[in-house]
Amino acid sequence: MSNRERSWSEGVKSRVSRKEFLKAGAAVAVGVGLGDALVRVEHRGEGVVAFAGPEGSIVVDTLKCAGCQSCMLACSLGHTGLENLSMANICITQESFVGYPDDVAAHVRGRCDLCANTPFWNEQGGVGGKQACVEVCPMRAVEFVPA
Amino acid sequence: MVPLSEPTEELVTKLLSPVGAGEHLVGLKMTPMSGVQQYPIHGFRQAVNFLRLDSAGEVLAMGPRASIPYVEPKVLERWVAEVFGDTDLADAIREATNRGNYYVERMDSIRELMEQRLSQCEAALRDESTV
Amino acid sequence: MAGYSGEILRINLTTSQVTTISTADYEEWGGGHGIGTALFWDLIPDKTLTDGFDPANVVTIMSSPLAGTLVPAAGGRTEVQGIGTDAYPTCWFTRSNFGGRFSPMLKYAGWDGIVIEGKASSPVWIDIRDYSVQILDAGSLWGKDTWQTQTEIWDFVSPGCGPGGPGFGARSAPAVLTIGAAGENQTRMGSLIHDAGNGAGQGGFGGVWGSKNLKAISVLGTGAVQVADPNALMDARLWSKDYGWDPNNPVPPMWMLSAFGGMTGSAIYGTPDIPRRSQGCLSCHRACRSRRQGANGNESSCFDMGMYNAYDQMAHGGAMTEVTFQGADLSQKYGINNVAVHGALVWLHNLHSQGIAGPGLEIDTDLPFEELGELSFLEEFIERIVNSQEIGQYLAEGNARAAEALGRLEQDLATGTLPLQYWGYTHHYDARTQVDWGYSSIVGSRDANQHDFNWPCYWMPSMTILYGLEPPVPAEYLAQMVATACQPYGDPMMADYSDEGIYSEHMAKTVAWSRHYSGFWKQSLLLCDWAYPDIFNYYGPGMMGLTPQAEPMFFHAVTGQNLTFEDGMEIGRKVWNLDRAIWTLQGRHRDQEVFADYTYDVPNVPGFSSHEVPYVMPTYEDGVWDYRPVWGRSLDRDSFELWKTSFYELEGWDSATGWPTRSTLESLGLGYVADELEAHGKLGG
Repeated sequence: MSNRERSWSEGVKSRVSRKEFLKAGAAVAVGVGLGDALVRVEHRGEGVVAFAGPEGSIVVDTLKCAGCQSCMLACSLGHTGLENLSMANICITQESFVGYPDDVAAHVRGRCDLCANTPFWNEQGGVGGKQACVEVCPMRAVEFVPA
Repeated sequence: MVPLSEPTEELVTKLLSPVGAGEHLVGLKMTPMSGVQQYPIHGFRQAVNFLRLDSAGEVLAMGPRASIPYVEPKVLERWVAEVFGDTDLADAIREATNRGNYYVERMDSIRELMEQRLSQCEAALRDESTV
Repeated sequence: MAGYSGEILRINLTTSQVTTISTADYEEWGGGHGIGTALFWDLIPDKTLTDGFDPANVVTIMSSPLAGTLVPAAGGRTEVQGIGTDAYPTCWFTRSNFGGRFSPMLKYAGWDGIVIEGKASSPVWIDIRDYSVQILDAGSLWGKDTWQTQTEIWDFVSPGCGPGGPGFGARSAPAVLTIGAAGENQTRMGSLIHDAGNGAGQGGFGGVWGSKNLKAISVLGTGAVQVADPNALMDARLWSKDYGWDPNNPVPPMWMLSAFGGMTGSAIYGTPDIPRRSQGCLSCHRACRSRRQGANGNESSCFDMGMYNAYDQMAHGGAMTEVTFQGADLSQKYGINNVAVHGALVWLHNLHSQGIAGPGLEIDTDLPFEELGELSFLEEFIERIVNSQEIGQYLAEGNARAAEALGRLEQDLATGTLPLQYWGYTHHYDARTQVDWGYSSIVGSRDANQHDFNWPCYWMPSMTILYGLEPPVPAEYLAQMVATACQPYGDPMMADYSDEGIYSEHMAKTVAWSRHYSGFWKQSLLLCDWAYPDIFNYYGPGMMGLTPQAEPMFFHAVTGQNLTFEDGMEIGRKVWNLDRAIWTLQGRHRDQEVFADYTYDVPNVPGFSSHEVPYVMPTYEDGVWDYRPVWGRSLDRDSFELWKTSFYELEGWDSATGWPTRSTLESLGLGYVADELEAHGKLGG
C-alpha cells in the first residue's frame, strides 16, 4: 500500500465523528483512547471544548473558530515538516451548509504532545513552552491550560 | 432647530405619495471594502428611512461593517424643492448644509428636519381622519 | 520543487483522454494565472478565438506553490483562466478566482492544476481522488443547483459526508467546483461555485463549462505539500501575526481599512444581531466571510449581498432583512454572477423609474416591480435569466448585449442609466475618481477588481472625512507608504489622484505596478487580494504594511527559491505581457480601450439617477499633499488618450496600437511570442 493510500485509510478509521462524541452529552467526560495518552473531552458550555491530558488541556473555543485550519497546518508542519491535514493532532471539521454554531467542530488526538517534539519548529514546546496551534490561531480560539 | 411652518394639505399629499417617473432620488450606500450600491428612493418617507446614520462611535466600532447612506445634500435640497415644491424645507436643508462642517454633521441635522416634516404630515393625516 | 506537487492534469473531454503535464516545464511562471496563461498559450489551437463557448476554448484551473500551506491568506485560492463569455464587445481571454479549499485539496491530491479541453458529448463530472481520475456521467446531477450537486458528490465520494451525516467535516468531504443552471444553460452570467459561497463570478466561466457539458470537478486529496524550510515558514507566519487583526487589541476598526490587518468578518454585511462566526478560507487569518445562525448567507460576502441589499432595505423601511442573505444564496445556487445580476437590476429599475420598462412600454416586461426588494422578485428575475424567458432572453446574453438588442445601449451608456463602465462589466469603482481601478480594467480584460489602492487611498480617507474624523495618516505620509511598498518604482507621486495627477506618467506607474504585482504575487502565487498588497497597516511600525517584505519571505520559505520582490515583479510583467499578447491576437487595439460615454460626459456627482459617491483621495496640488474631494469630475477624452500613450510607453508597447514590441517581449524571454504576433501582423513597431 502506498503512503498516500495508507494515510487515507488511517484517516477514515481513526476519526472520531462529531456525532459520536456529542452523544456523550454536555459537560460529561468521555474517554477516547488513541495512541498512548488518554484524552478526556470536556464540554464546558458556550462552545468551549477542552481536551485534557495528564499535563493540561488544549481548550478550543469553537464559537470563535474561523475554520481556517491554520492550527492543523501548523501542527503538521512543526511535527513532520509537511503540510498534510491528516497528520495534524488537532482537527477542525466544518460544514458549509450548516448554520452557526453547529458548522464547526474541534477534536484533539491523544497523540498530541503539546509540541514537545517538533523537529521542524525551533520553539520550546511542551508544558512550559509554546504550542503551534495556540500561537498560530488568528482568532485566539485555542489555548493551552496547564493541569 | 427652527420649526418648519405647517404644510398645506396639497403639500402633505405630495410628500406622502410616490414620486413620478424620472423623479426618484438615487441614494448610495457606501460599505467600506465591500462597495457602493445604488439605493433608488421613490418617496419622501423612503428618503427619511434611507438616511439612518450610524453614529461616529458606532462606525468606529464596526469599521468595515458600517455603512454610510449618502445623498449629496445640495441634490437633496433640489429634490425637495423641485419634486415636492417644499421650498420651506429646502431652505432649511440649505441652511443645515452650510452650517455643518462635514457630511454626517450636516445629514444629522437634515434628517431631523425631514423627520419633523414627516411627523407634521402624519399628524395632518390623523387630524383629517378624525374630522 | 518544494511547494509544487509536480504534475498538472490535462483532461480532454472530447476524447476522454487524461494525461499529465510536468509542472517543471512551467515553473518559471510561478503558478496560478502565470502557469494557466502559459498553458493556454501553448495549448489553444487558435489564439484569435473570441468565442468562449467554442469547444476549442481551453480552461485552466490552477493552484500555486503556496496553496495548501500555512502562508496567511494564500493557502486556499484557485485561479481560473480561459476565453470568457461576458465581456463586450469582445470576449477576451480572461480570468477569475475563488477561495475556500479547492486548490489545497488539489495539491494534496498531487496536482498543481487542471487543464480542460474539448467538449463532452453528454454531461459529465470529473472525480479526482489522489492519482485516480475518472470522467463520470453527470446525467443525474445536471439540472441540480450547485449546493445539491456538491452534497450528492460528497455522499458519492465519501459516503456519510453530506449534511447531518455521521462523517460530517470538510476533511473527508471532497472539494467540489460546480456550475448551476446559469452555466448549464450557457448564459453569459454563469459562474463556478465551490462550497456555499466561493465563486469565480466574473468572466462567465459557468457558461464555458456548460458549453463543454462539464458539470463539476471533485477533488479528494490525502497527500502533503513539501515545504522547503518549515521552520522559516512557521517563523514568517508568526511574524505576520503582529500585522493581523487582534480581537483582543481594541484598535478602532475604522483605522483598519487595511488589507492584511483588516478586521475579520469585514466582508459581511449587516450588524451582528444574528449570531455568526467570521469564517475563512484555508490558512487565512482574515476570515472575511461568515457562517450565520440559520445558515442564510453562509460564506457569501461583498457583492454576493450587495447584489440585492439596497432593494431589500428599500422595500422594508430601511431595515436589512434575511432577504439580503437569502438573495446571496440564490445567486450561489443558480451559479450566476451576482455582479452582473446587480447591473441588470440597476439598469431595469432605472428604466422602470423613468417609465420606459413595464407592461406595454418601450421595454415591454411584466417583471413584478411592485415586489422589488422581496425574495420572490429576485427568484423570478434570476429564473427568467437562466431560462431565457421574457426579458431574460436578452439578459442571458449579458447586460451589454441585452441593451444592444433592445436598442438602448448607446443612450443608456451615455447617461449611466446602464452602469457598465469597462468592457460591459458592471460599474464597480469609478474610472472618474479612483482612476487606477478604471484604467487597469480598460487596459485589461474585465473589471480589474484589485483593491491595491482602493482601501488606503479611497476608503480610508473618504470614510474618516465624511465623519469629520482625522484620517490615521496624513496624505503626504500615505504617499510615502505607497512609495515604500510599490517597488521597484518607489514613487510617492503614484498616490496623486488630483485632476492633473490622474493623467500623469506617475499614474501610469500606479497601474503598471498593480498589473505586475497582480501578475505574479497575487494572481500567480494566489496571495489573496483581501490581504495583499499591504500598504497601510495600523499594526505595522510607523503604520507601514508588510509589503514588500512579506511576499518573498513566504515564497522562499515554501519553495526554497531566492526571489526578491523585484524579481517577482519582473515575472509579473512577463505574465502581463503574455496576457497582452493574447488580447492582441484576439484583436485588441488602443482605439478599443475607451470607457462608456458617461465616464467622459457625466460628472461624478451623486444625484438624480447618478450612481457614484464622494471620493476623498490623496492629491498633490500647488506643492501640497492633502486629502481632497475628487468627485464631481468626468474624464477628459484627450487627456485619457495621452495617458494611454504614456502607459504604453512605460510598458514598452507600441503607442500607436498598444501592441507589445519585439524588444520588450525578448527582454522577457518571450521571443517566441513576438514571432507569433509578427506572423499575424500584430507586432508592435
